[in-house]
Amino acid sequence: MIWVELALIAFVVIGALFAATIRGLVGSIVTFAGLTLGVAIIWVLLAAPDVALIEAAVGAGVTSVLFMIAIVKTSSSRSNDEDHKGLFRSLNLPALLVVGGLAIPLGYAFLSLDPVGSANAAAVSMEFADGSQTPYGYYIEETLPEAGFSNAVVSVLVVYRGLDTLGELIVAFSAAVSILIVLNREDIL
Amino acid sequence: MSPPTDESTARNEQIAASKQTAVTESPVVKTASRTVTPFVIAFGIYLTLFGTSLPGGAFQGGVIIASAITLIAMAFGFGPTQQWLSAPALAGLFVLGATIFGVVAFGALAYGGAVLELFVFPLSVEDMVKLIEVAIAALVSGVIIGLIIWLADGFGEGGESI
Repeated sequence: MIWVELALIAFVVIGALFAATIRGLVGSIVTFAGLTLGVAIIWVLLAAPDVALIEAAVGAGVTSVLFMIAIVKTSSSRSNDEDHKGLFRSLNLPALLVVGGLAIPLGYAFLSLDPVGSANAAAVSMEFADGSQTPYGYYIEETLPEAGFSNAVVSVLVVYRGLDTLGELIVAFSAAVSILIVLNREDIL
Repeated sequence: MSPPTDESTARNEQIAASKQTAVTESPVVKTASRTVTPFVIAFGIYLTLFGTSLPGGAFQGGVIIASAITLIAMAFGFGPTQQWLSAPALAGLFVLGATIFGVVAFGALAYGGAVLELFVFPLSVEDMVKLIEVAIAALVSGVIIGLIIWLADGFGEGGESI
């Protein structure tokens, strides 16, 4: 099983390097969509199918289409980038330093996470170090007896953290309304 | 109006060619997406309605419904899809979702609870959650379909359509 995960991680990392360095934006988008599917399978292996569904549908599907629309709408038929030969574009050293400076602390923080499924992991622990009850432990323990159904993710989203979800939906709603205003078609609302 | 020069004719032909290749005219892609779409939409509805007891939920269901319509738009072209889906109906979808969520959120006040307190309604919490999930799925799918189709086609007026 560990070999499947290592192979997937290698696929995602190599895919990310390709997406960043390959010449031509369309190639970048296709590589990005492929590596996102790899990330979605990693979520399934980490027992997070809810996140995997979102990752596959939004990351690989809808986002790629949005990027494609943006490229078709904005670029001329032949960009300067594609006139040069070779598979990869030249690297921008300052950008590489910034990305590396961000990636190394993130990777270091990753090492301090609890192992998957650990009973003492922060996300499922029942008590803080001072003995008081954590909200996450409460959600996991009380979803079935209090809300009456078993998916704790949905119960956190809708029952216990409904105001956050309402805020998210207001953001989505205003995005759609602003698209209509930008396109000068707010009359259909 | 000056007569078109060779250069501008060549440029127009190039634009026309790039427009033609932007939309897939492949019968394989069209047939496959036509066959797959009902199943994808059914899967999205299933995820929305059974999100309380199985992996899934309204955001996942709504996004998957939207991705089915996106597939149709990629196969048949954004312009025809935009004409096929009526814009007021699409706007009505996400306005309906927002309205249901708002009515449930503030309806709790009428039953003597706080905003979004689902425990005070006469229905069970699970049924209220399913109602909210349907509202979220309607809003999310409406917003994403609208974003993609309206951004790509721009209502067919001004600018070039994809």
